[in-house]
Amino acid sequence: MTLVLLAVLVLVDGAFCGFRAAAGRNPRIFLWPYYARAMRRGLAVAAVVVASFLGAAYALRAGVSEALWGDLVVAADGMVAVYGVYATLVVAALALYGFGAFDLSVLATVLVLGPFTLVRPLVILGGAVFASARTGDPIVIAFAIAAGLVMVSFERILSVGDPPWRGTLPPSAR
Amino acid sequence: MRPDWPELSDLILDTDPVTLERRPVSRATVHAVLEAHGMRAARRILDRIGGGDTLDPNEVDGVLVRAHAELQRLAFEFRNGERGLMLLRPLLDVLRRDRAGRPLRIVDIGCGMGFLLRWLAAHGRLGADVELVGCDFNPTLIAAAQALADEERLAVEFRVANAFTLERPADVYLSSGVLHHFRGEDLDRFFGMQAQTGARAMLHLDIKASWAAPLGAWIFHRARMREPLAQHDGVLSAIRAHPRDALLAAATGAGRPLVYALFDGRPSPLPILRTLNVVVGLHPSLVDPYVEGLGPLSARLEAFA
Repeated sequence: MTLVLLAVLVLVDGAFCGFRAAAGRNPRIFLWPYYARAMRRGLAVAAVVVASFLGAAYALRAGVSEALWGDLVVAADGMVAVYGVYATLVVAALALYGFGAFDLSVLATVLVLGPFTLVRPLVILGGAVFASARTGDPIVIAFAIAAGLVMVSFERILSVGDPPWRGTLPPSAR
Repeated sequence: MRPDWPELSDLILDTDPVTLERRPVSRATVHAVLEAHGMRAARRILDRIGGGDTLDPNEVDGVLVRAHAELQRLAFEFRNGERGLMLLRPLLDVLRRDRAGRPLRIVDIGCGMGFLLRWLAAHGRLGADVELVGCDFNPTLIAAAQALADEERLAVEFRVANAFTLERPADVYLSSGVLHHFRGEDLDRFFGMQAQTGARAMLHLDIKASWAAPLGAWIFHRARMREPLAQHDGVLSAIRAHPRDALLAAATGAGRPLVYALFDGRPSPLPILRTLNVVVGLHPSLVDPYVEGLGPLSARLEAFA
């Protein structure tokens, strides 16, 4: 269950990273198809990352020790706790932004959505270190930090290459 | 950063205000201005812009278009289109009463890539009798704005033009994020020129000066923007935002026939809820019906002076 929850959190985060990587690059007004495509792209990259880390964890379990698997799950528990609180607050703010009155939506942005984007790398890395340090196993700590670093890099990875939209902007602006 | 620091975006572009011809910008001149103010971060941004002694205009345009695209993302997030619409719609209702059959013209001053007008054209349902015209001195931003409007079939006209010397003046002047670019006498002149055109109303949205504005701007420009110039000027804009009294003094100093009030201008101990304020200028005959048309929103509008 822990691993499923962690995977869901990573996938959702990947989708939002796709959104943020695309945001501010396309100056059209009707943007939902563009954002939907970007979020699917983020989701796909996150799915590859989840599959890769799960595969590596299973390989470690088979090749190193069964006990290590238990420690990885303990670390994953801690990460779910930290990221779960963060994600819950963000989703609540998004709900307020999407469905609340005008002033409440601005408040959700000012208090949560903007600042939380800024502290996201700290939360991810802090959560990874906090969660894995509980086990004391250097392999688990390295594994968690590597996962955290990949998550922190999501947005940058998704921004690599040309933005998915060029439209009719002047060549100098592309 | 200090309020008297110039924004880099204002320094790297130079247009003749009469001919609207673009003039070359000397790197050394901009560098000297930045040096004089001790703007080290801005100097590093300037150094990244290509060109030799003269800044490469294509690179400058690229930076400005990217910055405006990122700025538009913030405008979406802070729902600036809806904010403008909630003040504009009752105004149009009032103006329609005595327009004598002619269309109502809304002119956006310094429209950049025209987000506000394009949003209004897309979502505002303003009516077929409303003309939307965006003016800016930068031909690249205007070309991008028009291309974007055409691509999405939005009925907006963008022009490289002085908004105050159009062949037919505006009924309503708009601007978004423009006021803080004008300082001192330039701000007085900005309001004075509008009053002289015969416009019957104006709505100017800008960052609300408060203790929280620079911090908020820093958070959002770090979190949402990538273009270094946008990050730099975005925070500086919040620091340069005109205090309430300065805005009202400049507007009312423009003289009649318009009267002025601030919407969301009242100081608040918790200013995070009202991040923008709007200078509303109206012909005196429009004040009472407009305030009535605003309904509950009128509580956020100060008395006209």
